[in-house]
Order: sequence, then structure tokens, then C-alpha cells
Amino acid sequence: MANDRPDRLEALNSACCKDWSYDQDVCLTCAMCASACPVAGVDDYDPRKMVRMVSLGMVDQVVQSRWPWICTMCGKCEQVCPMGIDIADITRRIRSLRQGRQIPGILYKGLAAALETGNNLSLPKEDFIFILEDVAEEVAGEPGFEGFSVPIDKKGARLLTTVHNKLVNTHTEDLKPWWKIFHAAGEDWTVASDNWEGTSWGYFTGNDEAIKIMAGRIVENMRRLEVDTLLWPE
Amino acid sequence: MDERTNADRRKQTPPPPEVMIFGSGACARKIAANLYDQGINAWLAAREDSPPAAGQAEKMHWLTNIGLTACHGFARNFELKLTQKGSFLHQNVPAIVLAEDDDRSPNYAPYGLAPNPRVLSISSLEEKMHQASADDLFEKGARIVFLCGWHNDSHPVIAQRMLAGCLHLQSRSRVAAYFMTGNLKVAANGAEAQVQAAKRSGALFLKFTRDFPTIRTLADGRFEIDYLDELTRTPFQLTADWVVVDETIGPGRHLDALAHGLATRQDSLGFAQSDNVHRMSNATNRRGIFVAGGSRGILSEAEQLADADQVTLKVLAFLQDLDAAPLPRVEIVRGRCARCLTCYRLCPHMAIAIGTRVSVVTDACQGCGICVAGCPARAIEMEGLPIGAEVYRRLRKPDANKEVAERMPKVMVFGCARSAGKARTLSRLSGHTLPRGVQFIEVPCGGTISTGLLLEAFDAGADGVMLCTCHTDNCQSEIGNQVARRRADSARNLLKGAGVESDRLNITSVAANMGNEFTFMIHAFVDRINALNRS
Amino acid sequence: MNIDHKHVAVIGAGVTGLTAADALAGWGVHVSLFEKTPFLGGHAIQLNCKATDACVKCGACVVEDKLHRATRHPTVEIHTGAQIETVTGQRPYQIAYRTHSPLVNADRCNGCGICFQKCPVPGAILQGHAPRVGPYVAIRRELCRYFDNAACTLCRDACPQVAIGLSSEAQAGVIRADAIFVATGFTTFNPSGKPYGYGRFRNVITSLDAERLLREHAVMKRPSDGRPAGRIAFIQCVGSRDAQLGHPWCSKICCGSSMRMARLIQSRQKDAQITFFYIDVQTFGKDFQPFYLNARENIAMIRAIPGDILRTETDELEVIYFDPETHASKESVFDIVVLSVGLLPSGDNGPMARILDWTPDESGFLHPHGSDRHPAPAGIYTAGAVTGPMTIAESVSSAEKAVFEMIRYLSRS
Repeated sequence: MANDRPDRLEALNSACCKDWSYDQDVCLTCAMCASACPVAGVDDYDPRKMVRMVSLGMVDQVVQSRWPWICTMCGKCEQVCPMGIDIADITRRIRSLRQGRQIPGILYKGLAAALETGNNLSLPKEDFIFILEDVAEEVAGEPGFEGFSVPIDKKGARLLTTVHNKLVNTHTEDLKPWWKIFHAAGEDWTVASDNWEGTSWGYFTGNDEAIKIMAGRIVENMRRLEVDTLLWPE
Repeated sequence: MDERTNADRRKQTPPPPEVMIFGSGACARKIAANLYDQGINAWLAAREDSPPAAGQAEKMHWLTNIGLTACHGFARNFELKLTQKGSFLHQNVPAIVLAEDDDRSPNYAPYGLAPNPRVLSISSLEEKMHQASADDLFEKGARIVFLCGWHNDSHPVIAQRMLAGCLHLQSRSRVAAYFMTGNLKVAANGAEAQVQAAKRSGALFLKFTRDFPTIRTLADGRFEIDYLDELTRTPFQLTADWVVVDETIGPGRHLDALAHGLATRQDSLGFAQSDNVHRMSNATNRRGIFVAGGSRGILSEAEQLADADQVTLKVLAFLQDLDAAPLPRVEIVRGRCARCLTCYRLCPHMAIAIGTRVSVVTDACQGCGICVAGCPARAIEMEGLPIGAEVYRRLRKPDANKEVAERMPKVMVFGCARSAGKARTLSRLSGHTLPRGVQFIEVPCGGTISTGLLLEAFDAGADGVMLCTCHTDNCQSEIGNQVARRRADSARNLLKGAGVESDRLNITSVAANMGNEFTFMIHAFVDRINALNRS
Repeated sequence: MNIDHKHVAVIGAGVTGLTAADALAGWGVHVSLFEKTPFLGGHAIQLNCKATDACVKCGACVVEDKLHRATRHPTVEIHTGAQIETVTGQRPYQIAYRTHSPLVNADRCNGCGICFQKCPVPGAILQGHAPRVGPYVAIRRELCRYFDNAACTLCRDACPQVAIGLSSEAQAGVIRADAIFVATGFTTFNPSGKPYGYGRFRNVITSLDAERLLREHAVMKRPSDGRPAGRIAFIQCVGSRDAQLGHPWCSKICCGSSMRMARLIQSRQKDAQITFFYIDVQTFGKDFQPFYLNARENIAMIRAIPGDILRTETDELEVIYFDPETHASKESVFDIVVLSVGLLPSGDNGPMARILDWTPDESGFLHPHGSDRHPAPAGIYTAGAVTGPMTIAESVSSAEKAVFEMIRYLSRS
């Protein structure tokens, strides 16, 4: 962030983020967040510096940097922070200040697809059902799971589970352990054939509106299928 | 000055002892008031010309314009020679308290500043805040920068005042406060809460560890501050309207003269109490002279007032014990004394009186025995002090197990009762034993052991001699461990001259709570002597 | 002052309580000194002298002195293993207490130290210091596993003197006291919840554990295998300056004591490499500046608090921290990591406050004068670290001040 000309400290509006619901001013600069951060140092990012810049009023610089997108939102920083600063939430706010084409391409595309088709892969409903049934058949072939089938859109089930896009794309094998546990536990469960994705691309991009829409779709699925318990592993 | 009326002499029988208090600040006044409440009248010796403000002089005899010329005499009867506007006053008192206020000097140079109407010290800011209402202090929107502990670390006492000023201005006056600091000293109760309150009210805290800002005074009297923010690595510039600098707390201006006059030891900064844990909390090297508040170190105002209570307790106990306390009996034998005054020069407690004959004053003596060992004429005798005969008796005592005794070296250990003596007890209670052949003699101070006694131990048959004192800078008698070291050095030289390995004489230091270490040290020394015996 | 017929209860026999007992007894006051643990001297007596060759004014040796002075008075009556049950009345107060007889028979114990080696819980067996009242080895019921689930009898089985009983009788008593001096001290933060593996990695220890190690071996040896520790890290502010945990205060003493300990270790282990992770260095005092400048030359000072500690395959500790020099994550390997744990209000403060009709301040300490809304009851005084974190010197001062107030009270009443 080195500049040629020094910034004027008095020109910064250190009160600009005062309406954010948490108090980054209490920071002791102990660096525990940076020490705990798994991506600290990548592209010059560290959470302490970000908190510091925000409290100094250097929000624009942070918004324009790549840092908010380097953060994996794992939340370890705020877990260790002795002053209880909600650091991941600061990142989310910062992300929300950059929208549309300004967010990184892969996130932008994912968000657009998820909003349009209900999942970021734009996977058609028939293909989704086909993949699940195909994997279910393999499970049913294993000893102890004879007769297993995947209960898609089962009305009145006890539990609705969302699905991570990876599980119907490159990691279909990883569907099986879940299902086997449900089967062994005698769980009455179901999967929705529409809007099945649990990943919140709105959260990734700091887009509160999109978060609302996506969460709303999952709630709508629960209503439609008359399920009262949700398993949302994401 | 003896103008007391009978009404003043309230508790007349027996006549109340009187205490001289040097100082006129809050701490000194509280000591006097405390003593008065316990039936003891105190003089309050003020430097200043000004009479005390209303309500400040009750319960004490206030003397103004006082200087100290000399202090003769000893505990129970100090003879003070004072000056007051060119004339002399004499006053005898059993006890003295040094309670001059400390001196607070603003730090301009460490920040590259010179005194300037826009540079305030924290004291002058406090004064300003005291006088004017918050709104009138500074122009609205003024930028005020607090400079605290950059190159020289700050002290919590100062940091807390800086923080209070910063919080006050930021929250009450409509200014922008910036706090530029090195290590932020929050080691005082409530300090961390002050920092958080100041931050919440909008003050900006900037911390530096290595690259400190540069400050330039502008033509209009304001300041241009350039710095590199260490966390963001961004160069910043700030124009400040006012700066507030921290202060260094040191001994009061007159303390040096008072300490000299009273012959009390000073610490490295000049406060009137050596930095020695045996002095905890208000003692000096002299019996009957106490030190309190800003005269003994860097204390906050609250701590200074608490100190007044503590020192009152000490003075009361001292006065009560004057006749009761069992004191060591030290005598200078008439006829042997050559009046060389070595004892007078050595005595760290100023307990030697020079009259028609030289004598040790029981009321002032603390029984260290440094004079006994230092007297070239061996004219000083102290009750209970081990002498050569004891050393010979111990070393020549036959061991029941002759065979083992012959294999083990004979080692004489002299240990200071305040450190080695306690460490030895601790070591024994922890189940450690000393090697056979080790004789331990406890002495009141390492300085009790003369060069001659060290050599006598060898003469009596010791294979090795060890002298165990308190650690450097922590001798109850100030110099006992130093003189012990000097004497051990000269004994070692003499041994070398006589063809004895100088390693056979060892001087070391230990603390009262180092039982294990004490045992290790003795064992290591015995091993060394063993090796020397074999070679 | 005619107070030699008065009777005072001093609760807590750490450096503050001992100072008070000595000072009060000096005025002829009869003192009942109550101590929860089986030994006298509190936390302070567990600390080492930190002098290298010159004294560094840690004050630890003072406790030994106070202990000898306080226990030498015939008017000081000592109750170890004591618990205060109720305090009723006023002028005088009636104090009901219960004592547990010590678990180690002082007459049989010869201090051989085998029980120390056998005990699996660090700090559960301490070298107690209680002249005249013994024993010299003390087992702390609150840490001993025997009193937790009765499974562990390792020390009892190993004692060659058959001095360990592991069963004690409780005895009840009542005294009348004209005033009460509360000096129950502090407790230290238990860092198990911090991401440093305390309790799982044997070479991650607290500052008090480090004091014990130094006392036993004079040098730092790895608890896991007894090998000398050449690389030692100190992590400051573990459980202090922590609003999340509700301890937003600085514990005041840790920077100074850790830095002194570091220099002591270096004086005994010339090649010891010491790293100091800190937020702000909080030491101060008359001789601090030269000491600090000297320490800084010999200790790697890093202004960052680590975020993780991992154990390597070779049983070393990998400390992960954000390096302020390179502005990147860094891993450094150490033999021992010392966590400078914060000073907290003792868990006894709540019950003690209820017994005494006192209100702890919002942090949980017992402020000397109670609170504005609920001032302290007449004749009850608190001093020392029960009122907030304090050094040994400050505790002595605090005790002396409170004794003065108490004497004033006693001579009036």
C-alpha cells in the first residue's frame, strides 16, 4: 500500500464505520488474529492490518484491494481475538462494498448462476436427479444397504438436507457416507430437486440481498415439502 | 520556634515525642495529621515561603523557608540545625520523615521539541483543565497530539495521567485527540479501561516500536508530524494544533541536599532510599529516618497518600519500640582504639559517635558488624559475633567417623544471616544435607568477616573457605557484600603469595529463598576443593 | 495506643497476610491467621529469586523474611487447611471455621522429594514453608487426584517414610475477632482454552510451572523428557487484557517477572535462546530502563501474540505467529513455551464476599473500600492481590496501609 506522497491522517474519516455494529477501535494490535490466520501474508494480507485500516478510515483502500477475497472466512481470527472483534464480519461488510462486475470473476459467475438456476453449476434438474439415483444404486449394491433409494422431494419427511455442489460434480463418492449414516440411523430424510445448493454465494460475495434470496429458497423448500428440520452442512 | 501553648500539648504525660517531616505536599501533610491523631506532634518543614492555605495547617506545626544545614545525633535524639531566612533554628527530634514532593519535568527534547506556547506538559494541561470549562479549553476541531514514552519508556503513573487528559479532551471538548505512544503502559488498576474509553470516544491511538515520528514546528506555531504507520506501512502526515508531552518523574529539587544532610543513601535516580528490598517500604539506611511518597520513588498521587499511612505505621512502631527493641551490644574497647575513624567511614547506618571517645550508638546501630571486621586495631567487640576461637573450635573438632572425615575436605562456610542463613535452613528443611566436613557459621552480614578471619580459617585447617553474602545491590547494610568482596579479594592475594591456590577461597551470593541453589553451590565448591586436594 | 487486648482474624497467609500478621502482632494484637492451603507464603513463596549476580528487585526473598517474622510472634495463631464458614455479629465478629489436618505427617517427612517425582499433577505437591507448624511438603487437596476420584495414590505408595496419609480429619472452631483482615490473594488463569495445547503438550507450561521447574532443577529442563531446554518462548498476556474472557485488565507483574526469569535462565544456561511474544512491555520501576535495554539485547522481542502451537514429530513445539518484520506467517521451533498467565480474582472472592456482606467490584476483585453503593462493613479490611493484580512490593505496601487503618479503627472502638 506504499504511496509516494504521505496520506493526510486528518483527511481520513475514522468515524466512517462507526455505524457498523461492532467496535474495531478496541483493537490492542496484539496480532493474535494475524498469527492465527491461515492466509496471513498472502498478497500482503493480514487481518490485523485490515482491522487497523478500517478503524483509521482507510476503507476505500481495503475495498479496492484483493484482501477481502483472499480471506477464506474461516473465522479463526475472531475466535482468538481477545477483544471480541467480529473480524470475519468486517470482511463480509467490505465485500458488500464491491458488487457486480467488481467482485472476482469466479464469484461473480457463481453468484449469477446460483441466482438464475438455483445452483452455481447451472445443473439441470433432470441431471441432478439422475446423478443422485445413480449413486443411490451403487449404495444399494453394497452389503447392508440393500434396497436403498434416495428420497427426493419426499413430502412430510423429518429432515431436509442441502447438497454441496462438489458432491454432484467431482466428488459424488462423498455423498455415500452421509446417506449410509441416514440409512443406518433410520432417518426419515429428503433432498429437494430444486434449489438444493446449500452454499451461500451471497455470503461469499458479501451480498446481503442474495443471501436473503438463497436462504428464502431453502425455507420455501421446507415449506413445500412440509419438513420441520433442516440439515445445512455448509 | 517553641511557641506551643498548653492547648497544643494536649496529651502531655508523658510528653509526646515529636517528628520532623521535610516536605509540605499532600503526603507530608497527611503524615503530620495521622501522627497528630495518634497523639504525636509533628513539625512540617516547608521549603516555600508561602504560608499554608486555609485548612492545611491544622494538626501540625508549619515552618516555612526551611533549609537543612546539619543533622547531628542519632535516632531518639536527632539534633537538627535548620536555617530560616538567614537565621538558625535548632530542633531535637527522635524521628525524621523525608516527604518532599517529587519533581516532574516535561519531556521536550525526546520529541525534538522546544518549549513553546503550543507545547503543553501534562501538568500544565491538567492545570488548564482544572481552571477552564471543557468547552473553553481549545478551539473546536483542534487537533491535539499526546506524546508518550517513545525512546524512554513511560511509567504507568504518567501514562495514566496522559490517558485521563486525552479522554477528557476527546469526550468533553470538541477536539480530535491523537495518542502517539511507545509501549502503552497500562499496568495500573483501571488504566486499560481508560484506554478503551478514550478509544471509544474517538481518540486515535498510534503505537510505535522502532520508527518514531518526526515533528516539525511550522511558522504559525503548529506542528507537522510525519510518521510511518507500522501496521499498514503507510506514511502519514498530520498537522497538529497542540501537542501534550509526557513528563519524567524524578526526585524533588531539594531532596539531594536533604539526603546529604541526613546521610541517607540514595538510589540511582536520586530518590532518598536505596533501591534495596530490605528497605521495603519506608526505611532508610538509618534507624529513625523514614522516607515517604515522592521522596522514595515514582508513585501516583493515590499511592503517595497511601504511603503517608504506611510511614505513619512505621514511625509509630519505631517510637513504641525505642525502649523495648533488643539491640546488639557493640563496644569500642578503650585503650585499643587509635581514633583512626575507619569505623566511622565504614558504618552504613551512621551509628558511630565521635566525642571524647569514639563509640557505637546503640539506638542507631543495626548490628551488621562491618566496623568490627574493619577496625585495624581490633578494638570493636560485638556480643555474639563469632570470633577466631569459634572457627578454630569448629574446624579442629574431631569427627566421630575418622575414616570418612579424612577423605572429605574441611570447608568453612560463612553465611550472611539474612540470605545464606535462611537459605541454609530452607535447604535443610527440604531434606538436603551438606557434605560431611562442611562447617557453617552464620554471621549478621557478609561484611562481618575480616580478611584476617578468612586466613585464620585456613590456619585452623580448612581446605576451603566460602563466604556467602546477599546479592549485589541488596545488602541490608548497603555495603556489607561489597566490603566482603574486597576482603575476600585481598585474602586471595595473600593466599596466592603464600603458595595456596586462590580457588580455595570463594565468595558468592545467594537469596533467602534459594535453598536448593545454596546446596548446589556448596556441593560444587566441595567438589572443587576435592579436586584441588587430589592434584 | 492501647490495642494489645484486641483480636484480629487475618484471612490468607500469602505475603500480604503475613505482613499484616507480623505488623499487628508487633502492636500486641492477638492474630488468628487462617490459610486455605496446608502451607504458608501463598503464591509469592513459590517464586524464585531472579538475581543473576546482582539483585533485580523481584522481592521474592522478602516473603521468606515475612514468614519468619510473622511465625515468630507468640500471639500469632496459625490455622492451615482452614476454611471460613460464617461470619456473624460485629464488634466482635464471630468467625466459624473448619480446618483439615495436613495430609503429610511433618514428623515423619524428611523432605526426600520422591512424592514430587511421582505426582502426575503439576503443582499438586508443593514444598510448603511453615516453620513451627509444618509440614514442609504439602499436598493440595484441590489439585490432588485422590480427592477427585480416589484413584491415584502414587505419592502415598512411594513414600519411604510412610508420611503421607491422604485422609484428613476436619475440625470446627469459632473465634471472636474485633476486626478482619482479608488477604486471600488471586488465582492464575488456566490457559487450557487457549490455542496453545496447555494440558496436552507437556512442554507448554505456565509461568508458575516454570518457577517450579527452576526451583527443582535450577535450569530449564523439558518436562517431557528432562532434556535441557535451549530454546524457550514466553507468551505474554495469556488471559490478561482479554475482554472476551471478561479480564480486560493488565496483570501488571507478568512482563517484569518473565523478563527477569528469562535473564536468570540465560545466566545459568549461557546458550539459551529466548523469545518474548508481547503486546506492550509493562515493566517499570527505578532500575527498569537499564535492565530492559539490556534484556532487549539478549532476548528476541516480537510484538505479536502467537495464534497456534503444534507439536512436531520430534516432540518439539512449533509456534505459529505473524512476524512483524516480514509481515508474514512464521513458524519457530522451541523446547519449552512458557505462558505468562494472567492474575484473576480468586474463585473464593464470591463466597467470601457473601460471608462478609461485601460487594466485589465488576471485575470480581474486592476493592479496599467496597463499592460506593455498598461500602465495606466497619472493621473489615482488604489488601494485596485480592483487591487487584499487584507486585510483592505493592502487596507489602498495601498490607501496611490497611494495617494502619485497622489500628486506627481498633484504637477507636
